[in-house]
Amino acid sequence: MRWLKHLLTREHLYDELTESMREHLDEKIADLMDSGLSQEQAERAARVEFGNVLVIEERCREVWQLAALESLWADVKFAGRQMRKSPAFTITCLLTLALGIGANCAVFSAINTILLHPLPYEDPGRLVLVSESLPLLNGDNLVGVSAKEYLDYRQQNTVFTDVAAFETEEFNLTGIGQAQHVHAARISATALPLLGIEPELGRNFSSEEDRHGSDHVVLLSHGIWESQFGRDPSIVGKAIHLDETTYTVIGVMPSSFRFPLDAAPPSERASLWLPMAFSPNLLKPENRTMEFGVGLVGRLKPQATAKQAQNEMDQIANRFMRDSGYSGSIRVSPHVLPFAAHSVEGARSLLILLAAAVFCVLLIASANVANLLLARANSRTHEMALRMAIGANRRRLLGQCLVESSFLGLIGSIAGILLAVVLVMGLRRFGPANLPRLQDVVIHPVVLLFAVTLSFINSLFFGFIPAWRLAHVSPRASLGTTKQAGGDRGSLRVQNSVAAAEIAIAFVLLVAGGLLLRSFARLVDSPFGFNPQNAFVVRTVFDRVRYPEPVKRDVVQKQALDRLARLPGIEAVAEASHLPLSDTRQIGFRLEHAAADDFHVAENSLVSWGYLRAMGIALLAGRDFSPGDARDTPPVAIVNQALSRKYFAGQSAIGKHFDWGDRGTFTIVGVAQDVHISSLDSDPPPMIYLDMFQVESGVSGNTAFILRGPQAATELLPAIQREIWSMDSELPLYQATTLQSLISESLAQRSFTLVLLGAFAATALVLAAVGIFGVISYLVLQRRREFGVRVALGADRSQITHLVLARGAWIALAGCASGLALSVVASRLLATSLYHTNSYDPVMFCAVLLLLFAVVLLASWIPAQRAAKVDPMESLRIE
Amino acid sequence: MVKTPEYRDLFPGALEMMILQTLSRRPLHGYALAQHIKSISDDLLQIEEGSLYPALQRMLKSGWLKSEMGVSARNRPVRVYKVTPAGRKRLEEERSSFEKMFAGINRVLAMG
Repeated sequence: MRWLKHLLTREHLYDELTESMREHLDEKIADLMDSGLSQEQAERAARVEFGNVLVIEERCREVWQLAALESLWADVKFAGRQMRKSPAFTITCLLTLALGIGANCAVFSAINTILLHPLPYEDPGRLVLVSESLPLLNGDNLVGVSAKEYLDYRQQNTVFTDVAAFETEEFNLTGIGQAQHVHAARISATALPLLGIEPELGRNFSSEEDRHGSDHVVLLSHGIWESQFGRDPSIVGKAIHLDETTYTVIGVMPSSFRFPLDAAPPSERASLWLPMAFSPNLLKPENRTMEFGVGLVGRLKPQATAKQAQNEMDQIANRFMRDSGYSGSIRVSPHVLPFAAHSVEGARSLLILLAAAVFCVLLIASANVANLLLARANSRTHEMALRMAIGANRRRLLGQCLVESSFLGLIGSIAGILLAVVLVMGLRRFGPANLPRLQDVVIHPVVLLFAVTLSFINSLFFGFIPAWRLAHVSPRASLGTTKQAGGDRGSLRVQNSVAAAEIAIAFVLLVAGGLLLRSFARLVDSPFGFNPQNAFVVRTVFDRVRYPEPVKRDVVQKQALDRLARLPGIEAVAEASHLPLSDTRQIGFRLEHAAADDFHVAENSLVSWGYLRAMGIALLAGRDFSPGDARDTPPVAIVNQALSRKYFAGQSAIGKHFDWGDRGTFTIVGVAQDVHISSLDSDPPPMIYLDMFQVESGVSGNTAFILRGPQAATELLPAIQREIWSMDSELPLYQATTLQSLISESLAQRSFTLVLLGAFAATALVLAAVGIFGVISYLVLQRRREFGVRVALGADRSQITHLVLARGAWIALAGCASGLALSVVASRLLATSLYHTNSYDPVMFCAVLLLLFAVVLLASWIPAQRAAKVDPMESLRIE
Repeated sequence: MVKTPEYRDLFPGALEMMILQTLSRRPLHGYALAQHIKSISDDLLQIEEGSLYPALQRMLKSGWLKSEMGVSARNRPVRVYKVTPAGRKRLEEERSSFEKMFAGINRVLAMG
C-alpha cells in the first residue's frame, strides 16, 4: 500500500523537493559570493552548475508518479485547460462534431432499420413478392394477382419451395363492449410456415380451414389479445364476432409478428389473421380477371434466383393468358420483387436523398473541424517551440497533442451521440406516419461506430499537425527569426481549399433544399380539386351481414344523413365509399360501341347526392345525383374532367354511356372538377362517381360521412356518435378527421423531407460561414505585419478591407463554381422527386449563388474590419 | 537543445552507492552532498548538481533514506538526508557485490 501513501502525501513531498533544491541553490550562491563573485554572477554560475531546475523537478516527480498514467492525466487536465482557455474554438469544434455525428447517426440508423434491416421472418432474403401490372390499363402500377392466377402460379412454378397469398381486410369486432373497427389480413394456410413463424399460443390454420365455408377461425395479434381479451390464457377455442359472424380463436401470434409488412401506421396494422379461403365466385374461370389485389409471397428454392423466378412467372402468365383467353386491354405482366424492397419502396428515394444530404453535412463538419484545428495549429507553433525550448521533450509534446485531439474527439462524440438519441426520438415522434417501420428505428451501433471513428480520425489527424510540424522545425527557427510576413503559404492553401469545398457542398445542399421547397410550394398551391376547409369526415361500416337488404340499408343511411344534417352549424352532409388522398379503388369500364374486350380503368367512388357540394368539388356541367336516382331507375354516373377529356375530347360527355361489369349501362349526367386521388403529386386520374343508393358497390359496406360547416371539427365527434348510435349502437365510428388533415398527411413525407433537408442546408450554410470566418481571420492574423507596413506606407484602410474581402470572394467563387458543377449532377438525381419544377431552375441557382456570396462576404467582413484597424506601430513592434 | 546528462557512464547503482556511503557517515543536505561527492571523486565525475535529486527521490521512495530538518554549514535550517537501517543494509550488499566485481576485474586486468 506504499504507493497509496505516496499518492496521499505527494503534494507535501513535492513542496519538500522544491524547498531542498532552493536551499541547495541558496547555499551554493552564498559560497560563490564568498569566493568574490557578485550576486548576479553567483546566481548565474549556480544555475549553470545545477542544471535545468524545471526538468530536474519533473524527473524527480516522475519517480513518485505512476508514470504513464499520471502524465496522461496531466495532459488531459492541460487539454481541458486549453479548451476552456479558447471557448469559442472549443464550442465551435464540439458543436460541429456533435452536429455531424448526431445527424448522421440518426439518419443512417433510420436507413439501416427501414431499408437494410432484415425483415422479421426466417431467412427473409429468399422471400419474394409476385405482383402484376396491367400495362395496357394503368402502366406499372402493381395490382397484385387474381385468385385463379394465384393458384396457377402456385401449381405451375418450380422455383419456389412454397407460396402464400395474403390480402388485407377490415372488420367490426363486436360482442366485447363498444363495437370496434379492426384491421385484419387474410392469409393462406401456407403463409406462416413459409415465413417461419409459429403462433405463441394455439396453432396455425389447417388447409381444410383455408376453404370457403369452413374458414370461420381466427388468429389474434398479441396486442389485441392483451387489450381486448386481458391475456386470457384459455382464449383458444373461444368465439369472437366479426361483422356479426362467429369465428373461433385458434391461436395468438407473438408480439413481434407483423404481416403484411407495408407502410401502414401502427393503428392500421393487422391485428387479426383469417384464412384466405377464396370465395367460389372468384374461382370461377369466367371471373379470372374480375378482381386482383391478392398478394403473393414466395420462398425461393436454395438454388433458384429472382431472375429465374421472373422468367418462370412470365412463362406461366403467358400460358394462362393464352389458354384462358385474356384479350383486349386485359394483359398482365408479373413482377418478381424482393419482399424487403417491396415493403419500403415508397420510402427509398426519400431516405437516399436524406442520406446524401446528411453525409454532406458530415463532410462539411469534418472540413470545418479540420480548418479550425489547422488554424490553431499555426497559431500554436510558437507556443510549442517555446515549450520545447524550455525543456519539454518531443515525445511528451506529441503525446499531448494526441491527448488534446482525442479529448476533443471524445467530447464531440459524446455530444454527437446524445444529439443522435434526441434526433431519433424526435424522428419517431414527429416523423411521417406513413414512413414504414419508423417506430422500429434505433441507433445502430455500427453506424455510431462509423461516425465516431470518422470524427476521431479527423480530429486526431488535424490535431497532430502542430506536433508533426514541430518535429521538422527547430524551435530556434520558429522562435527566433521573424515570421514570414505572408504566413505559412502551404497551410493557407490547404485551408483555402477546404473552405472552398465547404462552400461547394453547401451550394449543393442549398440548391437541393431550394428545389424541394419550390416543388412543395407548387404542390400546395396547385388546386386540390376539393375544398379542405371546414370539412370533417368519419367512417363507419354498414356490413352485409348486419344489413343484408340493400333497400333497408339505404333507409338507415339516409336516416343517418338526415340526422347529421340537423346538427348545429352543419351546412352539407354526404357519404362516400372512397375519399381522395385516403383510399382509392379502380373499376374497369367499357365505352359504348367499343369492342367487348376493350376495357379502361378509372378511379371510382360510390357517393350519396350532395357529395360534390359537401366536398366542395365544382360541378362543371350537367347535374348532381338526386333522390330520383333509385335502384329501379336507369343507372347514372358523374365523371371528372380528366375522363371527359380523355374519352370525349371536343364533345360533351353528358349523355354518353359506358358499361361496368354486369351492372348494366350507365349514362353520364354530370362532369365534375378534377380531384387528386392517390396523392397530390400525381395528376388527377380519370374518375367515375356512382350513386350509392342506386348501385351495389361489390365491396364491403365501408363508408365515410362528410360534414361541412363552420362547426365541422373534431369537437363534433360526440354529437355525431350520439346521433349514429341512437340508430344503431353497434355501428363503429372510426378514423374521424378533417379534410385538412388528410392533405397534411398526404404531404407528411414531403414536408418531413423538406424540413430535414432545410435543416441540413441551413447547418451547412452556418458551418461554411464559420469555416470562411476562420480562414479569413487566420489570414488577417498572419498578414498583420504586412497590413501594418502597408498602412505605414500610406495605404488607405479601405484598400485593406477590400484586400481581405477579395480573398473571401475568391474562395466563394471557387466554391460556387465547383458547387455549380456538383449541383447539376445532384439535381438530375433529384428530378424524380420534384413536382412540376425545373430541376435546373436558373432562378434557384442564382439565388443560392447570391446567398452564398452574401454569407461569405459577411463572414469575411469582421476579420476585414480587424485588418483595417491594424495599428502599424504595434504590428511592427510585435516582432 | 539543452543537454540532459545522466550518470550513464557509471555502472548501475554507482551513484546510489556513493550517496549511501557519504550519508552513512553523517547526514547532509543536497548542496553539501554534491560538494562532497565532487571533492572526493577529484572532479572526475562531471555532473550537474541537480542530477543528484532524482536519485535522492528514488532512494527516498525505496526507503533507504529519509529526510529531516537539520542545519547547514552556514547555520541555516535545511532539509538533510539520513541513511535508514534499510539503507545501511543496502549499502553492505552493494559494497560486497561491488568488491566482488572489482576483484574480478582486477584479476582479469592482472592476467594481461
